[in-house]
Amino acid sequence: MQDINNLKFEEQLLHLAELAVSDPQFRADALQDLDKTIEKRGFNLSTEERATLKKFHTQISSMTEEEMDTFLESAVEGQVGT
Amino acid sequence: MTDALPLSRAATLFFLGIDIVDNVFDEEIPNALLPFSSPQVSLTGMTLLSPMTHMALEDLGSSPHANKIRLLFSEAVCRISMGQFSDLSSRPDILWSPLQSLQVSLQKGGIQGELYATIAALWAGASDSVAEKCGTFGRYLSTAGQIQSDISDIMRGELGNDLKNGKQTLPVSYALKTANSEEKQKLIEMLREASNQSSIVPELKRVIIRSGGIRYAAFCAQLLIAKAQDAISHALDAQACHDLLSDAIFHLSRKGDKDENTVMRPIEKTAVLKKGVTTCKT
Repeated sequence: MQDINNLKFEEQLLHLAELAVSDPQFRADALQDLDKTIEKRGFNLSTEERATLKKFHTQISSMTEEEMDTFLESAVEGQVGT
Repeated sequence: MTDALPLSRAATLFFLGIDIVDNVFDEEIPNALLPFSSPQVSLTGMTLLSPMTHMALEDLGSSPHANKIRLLFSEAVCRISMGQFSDLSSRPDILWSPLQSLQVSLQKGGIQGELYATIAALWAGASDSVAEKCGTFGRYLSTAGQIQSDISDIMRGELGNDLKNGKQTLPVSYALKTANSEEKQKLIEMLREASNQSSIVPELKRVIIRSGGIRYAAFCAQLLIAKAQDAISHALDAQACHDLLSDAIFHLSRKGDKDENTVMRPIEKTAVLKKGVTTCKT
């Protein structure tokens, strides 16, 4: 089972979520070049985590604000993904 | 399928025990147990959680897999207890970071999901590596479910138990983190008073929504789901992966329904949630 004192992924996840909801510049940069943006912002993701993020990024990058709301609502309503 | 019955029985008893103990802590005793005192209900929960679960596990026999599964149950009890202890120690005047809130969600919901997914995989004959990936899937999907429940607690029509108890769930800890000192003080006061003064709850909800706490927590939940999906796609073939995800989605949605249907109809729920997510967009 996971070592609960080693929450590196979780820390980075929270940081990512915070930037995504509060920093328009981060959102714009990430849409242009995800790899460069996460590197510039100091994230240190494993290859696997980077691949997960890229898939997630591909899923949301073409969404309008309204589609993003619907997507986030699906988390609120307990549905998984799209 | 018959072989899986002892495991299924143990997991059910374990889940019921945790749920009942959690209900006592949240002062939310199920109707069927209302005639009993809190200590009696606690004892019922603890009995289901430990001795009865372990009695059920005896039926697994003494294979290496069975012994490993018993150890995983014992380890999970310790970890979930730590989460429960942290949750109980949450008070409005001791500020939690979002990481601390997420850690409690991981310990309370995530560890349970990890346990069930891991033991099911091991019992089905999966290798340790596949069982670990299934465990990762269970951990992150269940943590996302716990966050979903935290969001529902804020968004639903009546005073939620978390708000009533002043708990710093992920949306609340984010609101506290991003608030200026004046707003923070106001928010702490409202969390402290929420249980005695239900009239302040609408304003408390508005402050949390305006902070972006709901959108932030929903985004975290979606990232956790992406991580869970990724883990399971490395463990199972495409069809099995699809079947498992469909089942998980069904149960996660049912959990949401259970929370919501008692207080508002689904159409109202959707409207309120949409408003919450949209309002905090700015």
